[in-house]
Amino acid sequence: MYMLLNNMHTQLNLPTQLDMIDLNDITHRFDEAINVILEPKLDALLGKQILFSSDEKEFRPLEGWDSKKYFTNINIINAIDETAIVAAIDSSCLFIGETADGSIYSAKCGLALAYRGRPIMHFKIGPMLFYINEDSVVSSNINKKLWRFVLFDTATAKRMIRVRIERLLQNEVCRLLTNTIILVDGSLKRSIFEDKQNSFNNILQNCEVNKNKLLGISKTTKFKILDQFASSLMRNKDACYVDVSSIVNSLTRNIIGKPLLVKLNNNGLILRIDVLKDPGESLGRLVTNDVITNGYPETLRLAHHISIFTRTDVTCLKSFILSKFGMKEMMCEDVRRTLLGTFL
Amino acid sequence: MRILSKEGNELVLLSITDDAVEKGDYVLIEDIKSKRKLIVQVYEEEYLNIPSLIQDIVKDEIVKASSREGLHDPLNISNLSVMVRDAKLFKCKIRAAIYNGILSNNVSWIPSRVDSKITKLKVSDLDVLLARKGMFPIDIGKTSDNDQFKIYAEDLDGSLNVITGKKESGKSHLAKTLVKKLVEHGAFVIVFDLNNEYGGLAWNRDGTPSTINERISIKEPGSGLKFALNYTGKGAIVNMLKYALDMPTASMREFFRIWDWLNARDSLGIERLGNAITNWNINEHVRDALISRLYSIQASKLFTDDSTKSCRFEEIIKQNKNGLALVVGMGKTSSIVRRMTVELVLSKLIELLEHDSIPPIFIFAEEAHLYLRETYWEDVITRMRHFGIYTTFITNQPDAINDSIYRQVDNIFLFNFTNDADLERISRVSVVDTDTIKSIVRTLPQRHCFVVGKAVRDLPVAIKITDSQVLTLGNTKKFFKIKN
Repeated sequence: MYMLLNNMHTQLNLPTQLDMIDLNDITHRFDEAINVILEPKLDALLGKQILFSSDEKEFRPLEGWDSKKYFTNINIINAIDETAIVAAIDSSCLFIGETADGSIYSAKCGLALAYRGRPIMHFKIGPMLFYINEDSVVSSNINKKLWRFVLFDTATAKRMIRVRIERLLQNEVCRLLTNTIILVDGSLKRSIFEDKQNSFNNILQNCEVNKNKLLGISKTTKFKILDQFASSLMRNKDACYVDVSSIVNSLTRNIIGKPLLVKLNNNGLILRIDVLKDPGESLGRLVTNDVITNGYPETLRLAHHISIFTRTDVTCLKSFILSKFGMKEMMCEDVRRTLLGTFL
Repeated sequence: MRILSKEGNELVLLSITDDAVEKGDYVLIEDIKSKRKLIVQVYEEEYLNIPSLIQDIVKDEIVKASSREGLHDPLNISNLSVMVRDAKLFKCKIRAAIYNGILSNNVSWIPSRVDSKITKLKVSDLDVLLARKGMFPIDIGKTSDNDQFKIYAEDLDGSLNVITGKKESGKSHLAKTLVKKLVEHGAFVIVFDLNNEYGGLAWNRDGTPSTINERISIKEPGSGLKFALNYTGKGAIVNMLKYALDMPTASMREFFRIWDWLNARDSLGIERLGNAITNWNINEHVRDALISRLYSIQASKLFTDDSTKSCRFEEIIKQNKNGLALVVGMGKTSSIVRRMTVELVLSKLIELLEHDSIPPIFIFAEEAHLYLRETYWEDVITRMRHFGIYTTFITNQPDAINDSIYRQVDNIFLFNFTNDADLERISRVSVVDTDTIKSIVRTLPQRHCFVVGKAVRDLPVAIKITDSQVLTLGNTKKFFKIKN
């Protein structure tokens, strides 16, 4: 840092005001301050295992972290030979465009069903269109403060739409099917965006009445510490799980049921699965009635694939909006690109 | 439809809706702002191939294959998605432009992508723009719009034409239609019929006489077609001996002497020619050569000493002033007699035309390479046209016709070819670009033809040949059909 500034100073013909500034002093003070506000601690890296990131994606070590720090009680999943329907639900939401006073979003939902280890059928729902503006607050039953977030933050709006349509579908499935294993994408927790009719409590109630087993399956977890447990599961040859509820409950509050780290088949990846109760029974019936590929249920994979948007979907939606509502498309520019440009 | 891109003289049009445009159709692109129009012809049809679209299709198929699908699509977006997946690209060649309603070859401008109106141009409308008119129409088929398509006899007049396509694609069918219509219009047509199939022109399919029943004359070499030596003349006989019977020059010289000697005594005849050769004072080898040719002449039965039985073209034509089709049936004759017949007929016709004894003649020659000598090809495209012999070659072997012939051809009627070598050959010598020929001709269905040349004012048209009204002869004799 010091060298850099010093070189600049000597090489450039700077204004006299800058001559008054002691650049050596500035750089020295900067280095000291950095160590105070955020110590780099690079010495601690010495000899450690490392997993590099690419494009800011998170990866998992193939053979797990070489760690023996945590004691874990590993439970083996025994396949239970009882037939049951497996229903998997997933959804996706996309920001399509905006008008002067609102935003247009589109959502798709997928429901896939399997029975006795074979996929039976799948339903594609959507794409549906939603226009979110000031007026929508009345019908949404969300408090006004929260609605402001929905209005001005696309990620929040998308979350709200997904929560609402997923809950609706989950509730319907829980109400209509009995003795079914219902798989949802993500952890089992209440959301501030739920509507009263299809709240998580209603879903739980319907599950209880119809003896359905609700499982929330997360592909990744934000709790880094769980990766340490995953390592011990990876080394186990069988399908197995560990109960991590004590750890997860210490990090977050609104989790429903038991969070587990699960390996659904012997060479599968480790997933976080939240179950309401009887983890052994729920998982045992799941592995019997669904196809597990790389440790992930095939129904949920199918539900994911049928609910994501393709480029063709987006093109069609845009054409539909333009023709159906007689809208006028405006010229646009990429702000970052315009401002930052490129050196190439 | 929308213009997507342009490269060279090629335009690519994008079609999302089910536009009724096919390969070979014409499309009119009207630039609304500049008021100019462009005429393009579709020569290739493709799917819109965007990688993401292919990915979608593959993914959809895998998903559908894995389990039964249910769909709730409240906005009916899937219909739009189907349209996008079915989107087509029409590759077109720019053929002409229209300025102030007048057809022009100046296509050095490009129409607006945004402000262009694109519509299918019917062949009938194209005809109006081309001012394609004539006194003697020949209905040869229908366009893709189901409109009757006609060429004009005037377009075949003074022209060299080729009808080519693979076996059973409909070549003879078109040739018969042309012959019939030419005769109906009063033309004189000579057909070298290799399969004895043109006799059917005299009869309708239901067995009733056709419109040209009285104007069909079928003559087979040796039976109906015989010539007296003094009618054919020395030139025609010499050509026959030289080109069909390969007579050496030394023998030819002696033959001239014998001919002149007989002619001076007014005693030309086969028998007398034979006697003269036997008694002539010549080298024995020459005598042998002359005798062997004499035997071939006698065996062909093409000649008669009875002048009343001799075929005289000028008289045949005089007796049929309203037009005539003289069918020279060569289906049952040997290849040598075929060659002799064609040499004699053509030499005699040229002589008659030189003396203006007969009007111009249309000749239809099926698989001419089987009986027409090499040197005749050049004659056909140079000398004969000036005398008034207008030839139409019909062949399923495009490589049998010399490149120089193709380059001089006025009209080509192209039927289906699937063989790459044939397509390559045709496309190389045709006046139309290679891409068009290769793409359109390859996919032409049976009895469909791509007309190129003067008859369509150099704007090629794909048509379906009309079903023949006349009796179809010359079908392949099949073993199992007979057995049944």
